[in-house]
Amino acid sequence: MRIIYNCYGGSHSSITAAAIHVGLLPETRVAKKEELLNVPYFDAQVAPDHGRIRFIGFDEYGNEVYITSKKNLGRQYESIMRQFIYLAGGKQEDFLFINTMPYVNFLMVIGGYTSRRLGLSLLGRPIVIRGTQLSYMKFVHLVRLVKNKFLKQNMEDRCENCLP
Amino acid sequence: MKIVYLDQLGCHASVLAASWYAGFYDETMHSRDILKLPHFAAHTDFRVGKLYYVGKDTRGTELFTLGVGPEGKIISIAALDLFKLLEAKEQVLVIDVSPCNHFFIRLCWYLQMIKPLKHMMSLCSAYLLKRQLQKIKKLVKINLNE
Repeated sequence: MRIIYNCYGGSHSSITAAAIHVGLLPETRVAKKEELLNVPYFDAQVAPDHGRIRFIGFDEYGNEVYITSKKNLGRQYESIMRQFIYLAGGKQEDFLFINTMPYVNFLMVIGGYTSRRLGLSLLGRPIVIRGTQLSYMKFVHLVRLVKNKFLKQNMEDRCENCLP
Repeated sequence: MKIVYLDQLGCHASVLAASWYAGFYDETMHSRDILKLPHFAAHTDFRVGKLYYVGKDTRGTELFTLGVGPEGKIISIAALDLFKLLEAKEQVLVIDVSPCNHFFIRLCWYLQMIKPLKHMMSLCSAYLLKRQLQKIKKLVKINLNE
């Protein structure tokens, strides 16, 4: 299965959730500033990168985890991408689109805008990191939900199919 | 092969682009004829993500239109990456013609929601779109590398 975490700019919330998912960030405590900055693409996306679907890693179930940005499309992003999957003849159930926007707080918005849009990363980065740390456990909760609700079920279904 | 034309609602510039490509419409025709094109101004709300089938061209290429809201550029990029992920056997080409729907055309979509104005506003957007046909043709040709 391919799990695509998506947010406005693909720089902070989706990256954080995807990194937690693949184990690049801890699940039991809030990540430190250095840990967040070591995550690939964290606070690094620029305008031409918007829309790109980037590979982050594999999770423990062997699923591929990706991140992307969707700007103002919100939940409609998924329906658009599902139309493309249909047109290309892909399997809808192979894709899982996770919207991380509901967990974005005000500090992440302000910090993200200052760092990415205005290019003032010296000013915006500490704010967005603080915001990410404040919402961090919410992202952990989201990842656990995804793993429990979709991926475990998926694994169980596959195991059942393997039985003679 | 499939070609998907993108615009904000999937039923204006994208329909004209697909129809011109398929040969259903050319510049010698009247703007009223645009109203007869499949799915032209067919929107009943402003929801995006609706896929419309326009038809087939002489080479058997299937033509679709898709409403993607204001993010045509981003969706074009995302679609290319998605097709790489899917390792799609069938080639799907994505052409974004949303810049051809200018402010006054978009204004017509809103006014079209008022029932007594529906036909007049559809006609108005068809007239304005006809004037954008050169731009649409240019965009399509660039994307098809013709």
